[in-house]
Amino acid sequence: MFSFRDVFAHSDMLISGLAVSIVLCGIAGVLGLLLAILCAAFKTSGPRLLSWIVTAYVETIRNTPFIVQLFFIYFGVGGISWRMSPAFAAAVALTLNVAAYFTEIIRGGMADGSRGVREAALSQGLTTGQTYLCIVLPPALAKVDKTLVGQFVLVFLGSAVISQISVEDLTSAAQFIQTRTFRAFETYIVVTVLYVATGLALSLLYAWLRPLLFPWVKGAPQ
Amino acid sequence: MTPEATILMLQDAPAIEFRKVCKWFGNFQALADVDLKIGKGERVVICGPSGSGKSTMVRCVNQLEQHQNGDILLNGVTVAGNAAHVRNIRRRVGMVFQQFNLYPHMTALQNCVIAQRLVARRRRPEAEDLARTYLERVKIADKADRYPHQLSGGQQQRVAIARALCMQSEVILFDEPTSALDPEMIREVLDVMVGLAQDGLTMICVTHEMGFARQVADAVVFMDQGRIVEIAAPSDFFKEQKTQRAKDFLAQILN
Amino acid sequence: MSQFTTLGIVETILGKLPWTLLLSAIAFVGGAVVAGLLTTVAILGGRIANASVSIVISTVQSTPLLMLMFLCFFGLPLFQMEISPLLAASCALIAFTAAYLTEAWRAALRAVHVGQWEAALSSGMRHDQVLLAIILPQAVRIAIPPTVGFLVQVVKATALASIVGFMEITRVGTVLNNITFRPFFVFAIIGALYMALNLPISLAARRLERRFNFNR
Repeated sequence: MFSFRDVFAHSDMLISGLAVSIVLCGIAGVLGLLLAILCAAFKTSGPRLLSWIVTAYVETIRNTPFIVQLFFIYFGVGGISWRMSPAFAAAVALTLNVAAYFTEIIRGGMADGSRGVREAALSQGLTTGQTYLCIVLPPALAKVDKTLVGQFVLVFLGSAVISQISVEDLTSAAQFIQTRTFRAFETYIVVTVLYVATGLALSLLYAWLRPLLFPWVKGAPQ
Repeated sequence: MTPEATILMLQDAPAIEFRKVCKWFGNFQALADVDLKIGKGERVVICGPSGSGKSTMVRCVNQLEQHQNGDILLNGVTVAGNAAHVRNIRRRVGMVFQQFNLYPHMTALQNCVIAQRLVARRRRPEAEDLARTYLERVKIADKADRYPHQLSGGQQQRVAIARALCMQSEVILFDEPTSALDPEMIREVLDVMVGLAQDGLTMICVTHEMGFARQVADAVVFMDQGRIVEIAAPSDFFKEQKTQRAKDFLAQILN
Repeated sequence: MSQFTTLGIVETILGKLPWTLLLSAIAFVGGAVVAGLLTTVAILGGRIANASVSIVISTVQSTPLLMLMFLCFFGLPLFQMEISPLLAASCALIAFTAAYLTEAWRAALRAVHVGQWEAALSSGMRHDQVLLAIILPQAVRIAIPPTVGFLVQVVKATALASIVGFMEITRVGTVLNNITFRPFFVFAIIGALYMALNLPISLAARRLERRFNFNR
């Protein structure tokens, strides 16, 4: 009844689709993290207006579906200003999505525990910028790193919808394959396994990376 | 003005001077008309019941708290000002905290080096040499590559002292440096502080450790409810207090 | 056509709002029922049952929701069922909701101090009596904030139903986009609608979180 062979015949499409998904999410992860570090700074110690803008941005992203954000950017913003490519729109939407969630997570990491250390840094004459980047941020990131990675995996899984604006990602490959082979169920099973496996691989990769990034964390080999 | 008189005046400029300093937290007055002069090389111990404003007073020196009235001068320069000015002041004033506040993601050595590089703009080899010197001074050089969570409370506080010394400040503020330590570790930190005093460091120390005050202080300042109530040399202060409040406080402490 | 006017656009979108709400309700209530069953099985069924439930939950949560919807849409007909977008989306969303809620509720039960179990059991009560009379009331208080908060995720998730053809506010947006060529306005309205639905829920969940955590 089930035949997976037809699906695997198209494994080149699956691989290239998966690669696109990973690359776009990877870009979004890096840029999103940088944007979130900035936004978290604005929200905790920036001028009132900037803090409010960040709050409005974060709440908008967190309370609307990603697909609507994607459509708004690709069709909406893309309709008004310059025509952007689907991949670019997807990258922007993913970045903004990642950054909003990361901002809240990072703020959570800075919440209690950093006040005394912050005062020590200021008392030595560091600027607020130096204090934030060199003294407060690294321990905060170490505290919430697993949450950040977990959120990133969620975004990766949610990136399946970028297929809806014709980005040639893994889901798009699946849709193509299933129309060709008429094996819709098997196709989506295979693609689901690929998504799950990649998510797992990302978590494992991070577990390996962690002691290299944060050598001071307890339990890390010295 | 004769040159000698000028030199005398410069020599007499107090390291730290409080002039009628007042500070409110909302409606609560934490400091009321605080007047105090601390000379170069002097060691001053500030004591008093909790809530008396001693920590606030010391934290106003490096503007971790901002006073509303009056003036605080560091070698004749007012400490209040814009962000850049305050940073300059903080370069010249070191602070040791009750909770140590070591940077948790840096080794003892890195803790001592970071401000040297970012603030004093020293090169890494020079900064590390200085750091090792001061870690040696506080007798913890062998733990230079350890992270704070691998050190005991007393060891962490000694690293914190070394960290403050590395900036080669004119004055070092101590805000209850031994209050968060287990009793066995208080001795090692106090020994270090006594050694620093003997080296001629200008120190303002908020503490309950009266033994330290007796041994090393040039003056004991007793505060209550935001005011300086008594100032005296330790020998005088511990023999006979002038006010009832000071008498009550000492009776409580020494029991 | 009336859809070309600004007001027409808003009316058209609002016209599909009940479908978003309906699907959200089906998913949340259905998911809660299934979660209740799974939680009970996990707590009272012994270690193997608990582990099995954990595996099922992990699998569902590691799967992209869009894949869940496609699998339901294309898989359910294989079992001789008549498939409609609403049915496929409902099944996927119920699974999605049940997985999250089961995990949240099991965590809430575990969060009740073990001393409560010990005290109740040592007075002679049976396991299920302890659960119902002592543990459950306390666990419910802990579970309320994340449960209410998850409603936001459910409402957002209904947007994916548009991809399998269910006509709710997101899908009508893509349709209107093709007709009116005013995508900025259309999707801004739709986004604002989701915010109008979700912001109050988010704020309520946060307030509940503060209230219940304070008392603990």
